[in-house]
Amino acid sequence: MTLTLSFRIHPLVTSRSGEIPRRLAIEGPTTAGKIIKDLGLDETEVLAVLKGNYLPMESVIDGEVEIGLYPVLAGG
Amino acid sequence: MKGGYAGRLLHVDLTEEKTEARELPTRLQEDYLGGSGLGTRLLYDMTGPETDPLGPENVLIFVTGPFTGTKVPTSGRHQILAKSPLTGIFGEGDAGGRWGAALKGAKWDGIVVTGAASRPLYLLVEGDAVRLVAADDLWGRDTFETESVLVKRHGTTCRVAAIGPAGERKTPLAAIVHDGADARVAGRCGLGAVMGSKKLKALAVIATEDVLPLDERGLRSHLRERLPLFVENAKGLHLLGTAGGVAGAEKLGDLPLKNWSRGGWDRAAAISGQEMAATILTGRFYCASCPIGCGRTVAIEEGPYRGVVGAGPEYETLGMLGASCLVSDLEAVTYAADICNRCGMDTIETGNAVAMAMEWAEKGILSPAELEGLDLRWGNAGAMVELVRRISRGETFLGRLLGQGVAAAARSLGRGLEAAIHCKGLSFPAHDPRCFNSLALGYATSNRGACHLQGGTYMFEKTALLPELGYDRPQDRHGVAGKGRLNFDAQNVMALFDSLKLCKFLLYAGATLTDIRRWLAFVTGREISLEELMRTGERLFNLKRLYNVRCGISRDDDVLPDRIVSLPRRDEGTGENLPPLTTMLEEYYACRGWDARGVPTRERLLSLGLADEAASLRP
Repeated sequence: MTLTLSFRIHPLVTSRSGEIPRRLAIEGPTTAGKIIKDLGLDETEVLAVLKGNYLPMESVIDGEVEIGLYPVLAGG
Repeated sequence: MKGGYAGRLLHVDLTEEKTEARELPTRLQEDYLGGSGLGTRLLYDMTGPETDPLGPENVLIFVTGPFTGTKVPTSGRHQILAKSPLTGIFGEGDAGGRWGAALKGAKWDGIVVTGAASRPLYLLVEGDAVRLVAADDLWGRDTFETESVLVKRHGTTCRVAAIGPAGERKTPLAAIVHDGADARVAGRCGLGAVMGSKKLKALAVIATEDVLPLDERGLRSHLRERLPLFVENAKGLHLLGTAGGVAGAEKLGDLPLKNWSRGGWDRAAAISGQEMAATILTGRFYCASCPIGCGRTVAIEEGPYRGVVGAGPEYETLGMLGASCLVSDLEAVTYAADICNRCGMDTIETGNAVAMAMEWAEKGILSPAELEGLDLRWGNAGAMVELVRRISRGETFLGRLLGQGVAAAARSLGRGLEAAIHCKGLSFPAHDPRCFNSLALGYATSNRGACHLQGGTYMFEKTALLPELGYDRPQDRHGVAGKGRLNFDAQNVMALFDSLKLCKFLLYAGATLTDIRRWLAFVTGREISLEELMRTGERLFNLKRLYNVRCGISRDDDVLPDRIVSLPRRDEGTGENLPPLTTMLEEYYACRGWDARGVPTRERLLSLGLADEAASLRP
């Protein structure tokens, strides 16, 4: 099944391999971690958010959803 | 209460068991702001090189800032200061939570504790009603129990700052813990031991009125405009806490590993905030007036570490009790952190101590008799937890030795001094100066010893900006030129944060110095130029340095452990980089206007309004 995912991307989330697409059509189901890697992002630097909640990397995505991508802020 | 200041300090003489309200002069408010700045002024005037940190002549100062208790974002903070029993020099700690806001709501800017009681006491403050109460029934209890008893006794609006058994025993790595199981901790510099030396078990504070800015409408309007940005920018901190950065820090070459002796560890994700969220996380909490909410609540219900219910481990704790000991068991680190919180101990100092002991064990520096049955191999979670337990109770040779902190413990043992990773007696927090050159300079010149928060320069080498000072893009973390200037600017800014009382995570959230100047005007009515604000920050930083100069600190002490400047991590993030401390120090001293000994010059002190201090300098 083909999923069309849309992304809300925080300005501090950048990809070393170029611009991050705002929409992506992929074969589903997939996981949050795989999506982040497919976008050329590093899962230690970026976290995924769905409906305001943290989305663990192994979470299964099997629907048309908007995913927020935020920087992980290190340290204290 | 309006205008940022209550205009009075509560002086508590424990020897005489007397309390007294004293006016806080306007000049002190303007020149020293509050929090760290005001506390430093008081500490400088009331103690000195002759002061025994654990004697009745030391003072223990709890002080709010003008923002504390207001709706200014992240202002639910206060500062605690004393001459440090861990380092023997200037000591301070900062804590969030809700205690500071309660103190301001009780119409006090701060509490100055002098003398020492002859019996355990706690201080109860409810507005003007202040009394010292016998604490025999609390002595010996942990910080969570103490808070629970006092809240039950005085009501749910009672906020508690308490020491645990470590502070009671005057252990130099003892902390002061706020808000019970939420564990907002003033951890560094052994301030809990000072409190214990005074037989002061707790300070219970109840607010009696709201804390309002002079211009309520102006502040509300400004926050309506700015808060959504802060919340959005800091979402990572909210969702994963400070622990969310553990795996990224390892990749960057920032996370301490094997007592600062190597780079590269494939187990970091196992102790990360992401792992916490997937396993033991049960909730999140906010300090007063905070839009970020980085606090974690966790629970462990099964297994050898079951029973933990309360604050989850922070990045620093995971770095020191986890990564630096190569322990990748999240529940074990959480359990050890819980011991520290309950007993009132600094997890940074404790973690460094355990890692140092593991290195000693590996190198045969400790004899089998001195190990007392502990298998201190790297990564042994059970041994790490057991050693933390022994330190917390002052049990066994090693528990008592390490309870002195890494510097004193190594000196006392007389062997393995190279494994004590500290500056001026304060052990390193969990950020590696080989990853951020500016941190090397920051650790070497921080007034309380190795500290990442007194300059926070690493934030500006990642994502934080200070556009008003020209830092409009992230700085090169392995660069050299400009690091002296960066530390000069950032230390002055952080002195302002610690004095006005703001959380440094606001910088990640996108707050600017312009925001801060506007908040000061909304809250107090005081309009201050950027130049005057920065001059104030510089004044505060220099006064702390002068305190230390009086205690004998000089350039000879602005140094780092050998392995930090000579042993590369050789990992993906940091590679062969070593911070050139001497070069950076030259630039820094020039920016500061300090002489070759590291002493502020008379001219610079005069320009900062520190004429009396300039006059007292020895030629």
